[in-house]
Amino acid sequence: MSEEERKAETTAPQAPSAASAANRAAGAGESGAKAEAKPAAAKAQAAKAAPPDPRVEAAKAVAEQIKQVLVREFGEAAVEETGVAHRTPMVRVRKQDWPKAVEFLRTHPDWKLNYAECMAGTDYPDYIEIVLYVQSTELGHFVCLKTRTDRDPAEVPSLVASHPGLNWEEREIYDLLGVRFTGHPDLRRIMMWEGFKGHPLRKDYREWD
Amino acid sequence: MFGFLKGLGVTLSQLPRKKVTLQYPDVMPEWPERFRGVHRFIPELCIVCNQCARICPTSCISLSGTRDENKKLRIDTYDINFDICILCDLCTEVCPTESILMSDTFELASYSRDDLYLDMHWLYENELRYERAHPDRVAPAQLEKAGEA
Amino acid sequence: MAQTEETLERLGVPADKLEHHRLRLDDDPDVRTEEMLLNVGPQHPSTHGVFRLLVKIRGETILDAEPVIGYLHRGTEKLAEDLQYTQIIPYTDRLDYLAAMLNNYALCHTVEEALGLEIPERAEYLRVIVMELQRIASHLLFIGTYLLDLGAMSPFLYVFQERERIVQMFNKICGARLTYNYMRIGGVKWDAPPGWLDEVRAFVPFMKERIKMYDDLITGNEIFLNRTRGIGQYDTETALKYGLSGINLRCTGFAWDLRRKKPYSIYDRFEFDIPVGTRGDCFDRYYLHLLEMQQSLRIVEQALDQIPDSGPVLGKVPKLIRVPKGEYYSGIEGARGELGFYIVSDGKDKPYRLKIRKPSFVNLQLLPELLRGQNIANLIAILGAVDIVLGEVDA
Ligand code: SF4
Ligand code: SF4
Repeated sequence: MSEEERKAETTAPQAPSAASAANRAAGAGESGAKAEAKPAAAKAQAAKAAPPDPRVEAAKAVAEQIKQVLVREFGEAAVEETGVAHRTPMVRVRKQDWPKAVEFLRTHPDWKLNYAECMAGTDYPDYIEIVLYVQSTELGHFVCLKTRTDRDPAEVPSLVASHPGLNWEEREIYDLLGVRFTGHPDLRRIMMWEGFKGHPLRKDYREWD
Repeated sequence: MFGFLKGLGVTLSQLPRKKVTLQYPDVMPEWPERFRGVHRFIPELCIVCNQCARICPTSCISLSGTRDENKKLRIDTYDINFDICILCDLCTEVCPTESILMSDTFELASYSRDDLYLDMHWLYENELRYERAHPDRVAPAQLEKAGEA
Repeated sequence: MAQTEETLERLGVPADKLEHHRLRLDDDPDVRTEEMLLNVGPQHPSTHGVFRLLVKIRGETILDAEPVIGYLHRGTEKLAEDLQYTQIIPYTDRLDYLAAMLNNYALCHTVEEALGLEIPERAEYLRVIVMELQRIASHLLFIGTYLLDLGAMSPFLYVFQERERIVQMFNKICGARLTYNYMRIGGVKWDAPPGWLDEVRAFVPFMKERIKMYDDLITGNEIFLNRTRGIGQYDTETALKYGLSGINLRCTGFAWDLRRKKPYSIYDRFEFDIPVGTRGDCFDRYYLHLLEMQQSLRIVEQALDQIPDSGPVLGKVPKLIRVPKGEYYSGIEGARGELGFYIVSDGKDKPYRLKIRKPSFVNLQLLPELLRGQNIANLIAILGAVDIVLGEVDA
């Protein structure tokens, strides 16, 4: 075995694509990045009056494009909302279309959102939101996809078929937030033990009930 | 076989090297000035502003104070529960008068959890111990104050 | 299955818990009598923490494996909902406790992005220096423990020499050896003490020499090669599907490093390469750790040259940090992969929801896949190379 063979190759980094650069350009000048204007602190109000951040505008445009693609495939009702999550394009998909939409975007030649980076669930007063940040390793898109479910019963179709790596993330969300992922191959508690009562990350969870 | 011998050569070359370990507890380690060990506390400086207790992420500081004849707040009790203290240093960071500080005491092992509930006197003792051990690190003003007490 | 049932009974598993412990496997009628359930952990030296692996074996072949985690679950995400942003920083120290600086940074970075804060130059450089040193320290420990898992004792003892030097440097700059709590939102807590940067500068050539030494010591060793070559192999597609990141992804030959792909901090100012593997086996993963340490040293060197001589180390930050309403996610290249924080804020001084994208947690999912069909002797070699830290997996 030669020395060269033994050593792993070193390649020079490739330049990230322009589209991705627009998606995630970093830096100062954060304004009220949230698309929907909601009453916030006085400071945020002042920021909103400032001219719109071009990065936020670009992200909004990308979100619209994704909406077009999804609407063409699944109909008008599939997309519930578009906007931005900070500077990331955000598309909220109807619960029923969730796995189909994610799989569709994963394989769509223009998007190829093939790399699931982060999945999280958040408990809001009236609903539970599932957030998925997906990245296209080839085209550089970085998108935030969302869906919502009622708190009771909380049920969302599973994404494990398209992203096996979300298996444990979904189990964790099930464990801590009590969202039942239908079609998940192995939905059990993961952090807490079997027989544990309640879902600790819910806002109304009380320890000693 | 060659790679194996090459590795063996490295091992052998380590033999004549100097020891890098410390014979603790016979030889104690030298801690740098910023080392975050168990707290020390200077009661005279404390103005009972409660900032340390509020910033503490584990809420392990409990303190109380009263106003003396000059209407100045004086500290009465100051306890830190080292059971849950994570030695994060946030309390010393916010203290406006630098009355709560970190020392280089680090040996906290004990047979009972109760021993980890340290009060003002212990913390002040610790301050005195620290001053004795590091006279160079204590600010002169602070030393004076401590001397008066 | 009968055999397994008995084993479980003997292990004292109550009847109503059997379902939980049973491994999901298509029953093969021929081998039923030879199946055996092997319990690795939760207390096992090579699990690097408390991690349990239920392995179903037939003879010496692993039929299936099921990781059981959560022994170290402290509910950091829930705790964070009750803490101010500054107070969360010490908690992040305890996630991946071998790379606390990187955890500190990941949280601060997300909050800074949300606030749109300007970070002083000197602070940025100090951050990069400590982060890269931390990466080296973490990778060193990987090499040490991995070789220890494979039965080689001395590298484990050697790595602690360099690691000790790094840890001592951290001790001088922030006063702690493991749980640093060094970064603050908007900068760092302390400027470097006098002489500290020179110490780092002196460390670089020393470390370079030591990397060469490890290369000599380990890389060519035939025993090591036989135990890692072609073991635990997977390709890029699998890695991406499973969301792997860090070295676990790069070992397949896919150059994905967030320092380049989504530049954060000041990484765009440095020259460095992204080493990638060719086969995606355990050996590549080991070797990439060595190569990455070299690149980290390169970054440290450049940072030492560029760092401004003086200046503030903490930007203008309000005393009480309130993140504007909204949601924020940003990931950095941690020592084990993409470490990200997802924060939902309702405009208060505490996060409404904080989610940690834990690289070890995601990377570990591939383990059963890798173990299936392998010889039991490879179990530790494969598990070790995934490079998990249980503090992070369980959070
Ligand atoms: S060091 Fe941290 S945990 Fe300990 S008392 Fe101070 S603030 Fe609390
Ligand atoms: S912050 Fe300092 S001055 Fe204020 S109560 Fe605590 S120890 Fe006393």
